[in-house]
Amino acid sequence: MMKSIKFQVPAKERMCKGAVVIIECPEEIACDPCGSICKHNAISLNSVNSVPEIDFEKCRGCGLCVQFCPGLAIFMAAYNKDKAYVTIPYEYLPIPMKEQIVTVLNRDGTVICKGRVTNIVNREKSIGDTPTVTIEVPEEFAMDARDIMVDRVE
Amino acid sequence: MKVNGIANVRTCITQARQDMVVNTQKGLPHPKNIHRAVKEPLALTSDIVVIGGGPAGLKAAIAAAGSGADVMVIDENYMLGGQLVKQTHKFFGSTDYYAGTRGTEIARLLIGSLRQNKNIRVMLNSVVVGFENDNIIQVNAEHGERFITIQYKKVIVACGAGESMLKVTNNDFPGVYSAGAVQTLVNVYGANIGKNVIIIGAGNVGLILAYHLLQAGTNIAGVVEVMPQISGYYVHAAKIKRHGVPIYTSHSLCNIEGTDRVEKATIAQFAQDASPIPGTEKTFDVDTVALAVGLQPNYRLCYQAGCKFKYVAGLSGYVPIRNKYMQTTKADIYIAGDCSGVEEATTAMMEGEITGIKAASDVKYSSAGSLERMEFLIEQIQEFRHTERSKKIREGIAQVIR
Repeated sequence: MMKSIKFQVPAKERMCKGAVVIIECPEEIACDPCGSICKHNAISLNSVNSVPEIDFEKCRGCGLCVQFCPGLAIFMAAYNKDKAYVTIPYEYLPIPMKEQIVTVLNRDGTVICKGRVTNIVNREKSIGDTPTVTIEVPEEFAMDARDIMVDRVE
Repeated sequence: MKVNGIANVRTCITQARQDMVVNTQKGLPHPKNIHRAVKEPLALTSDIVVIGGGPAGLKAAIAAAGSGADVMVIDENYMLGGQLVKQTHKFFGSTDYYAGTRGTEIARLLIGSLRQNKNIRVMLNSVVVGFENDNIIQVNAEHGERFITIQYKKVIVACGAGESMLKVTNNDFPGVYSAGAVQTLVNVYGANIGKNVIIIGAGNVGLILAYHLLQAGTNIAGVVEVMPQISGYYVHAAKIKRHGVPIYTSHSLCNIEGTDRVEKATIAQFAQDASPIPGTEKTFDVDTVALAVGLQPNYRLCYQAGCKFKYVAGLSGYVPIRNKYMQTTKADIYIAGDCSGVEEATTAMMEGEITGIKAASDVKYSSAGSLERMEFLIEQIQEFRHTERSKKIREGIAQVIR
């Protein structure tokens, strides 16, 4: 089911310039927080039921929509050299620490690689009560890395 | 169970108190002991009575009291909030209407504004048992220790929905729960329900339950859905899939096994005629089976009151005929939330607010702008139901609206 669904994906050149949003919300549901939180008018919705439309050139990669989205359906990706940096909303405990190596999963929950945590927005700092975690992964995984598993330290 | 001599008490939702005497009830209660347990009956009056303190009822009470009416809210639980208190995830909807806010936080906000209003009285641990003539309801109040009658001018019934059961062998075993019970135990009481859970039903309730359990650190063997596709939202399914939870569509639960509690659950692929396909069985070692197989509107109170009803599949069961203000065929009885058709919390809150304003205005109370607000909400709720997904709700409502 998930593989057949197409999302609006930014061009690679845009992702090379810095973080940009990827919204994986393909279904009409009554929900509009992403459009209301964006300060740069990069996300627009015709009505509360519309699927969000993104203007990738306007997106500054601030990450507010990633923190605010109730469906945890917004991610960010950026390329730098041979690495990709993917930001994911993450509401599990423990929250990993910066520099920690975590297991990276794709949309089907399959382990695809290891990732290094490069940034954390914790719950207190998050505008939407949801922490976000940015991981560095090999560039080929930018469009697949969508979740992480953090080993629990006993 | 018997609590302080009162029989038929639902101990699962009764808060423990000092010196409480709890006994296992065997058979029917003996009437000769009842008079010793109960207190003097009481007769009260209120402009508006709201039955149920969930999202719809809370909004209704706040709106009615805000218009100046004297309001009484009755709930069977020991706290207000209904199902909101166990919804730890963030809600969808419009930013003007709590979108992005966790259900638990919405409950806190609503209860906070309700408590500030001096026009609202709250009666907890109390069950409305029925309607009498002359606008009177009967209440089994104070854990059933006191019988109270309340004379009202208008009543708003916001008593929600009940969870459906699945007919399968050993579904009475310890370890078989409804989704709502699991959420109460895990999210409200902070109790661990088990180590390995299988969830039956991939509607939003089942998918959200899986997410809550992942957050609680519970292993989920799978989410099982009899339909060929996931019926809940894509984004709810995506969250649990990417965290490694398998979703088995076109599958259902065949069997629960164990000596005296759940030890194994067997699922199988189901054919279009709803029969299991031999050879497709999968057995999981689980200690918990969580059933998220649908909800049915709680219709009994309105039915007993004499409201006209219709069975509407799109609204998940028997629901009262109503007008656009959610007024039933009994002019003094209004409905709001899931008891008027199973939907979700945002539309329940909107319906609550509409009925609160309308009921108050029908007893000649209104505040500045309240009637305009009501008309705005009636339009807003229609916009909310404009999606392809809401089609069955829209069509269902068209069958019962006058």
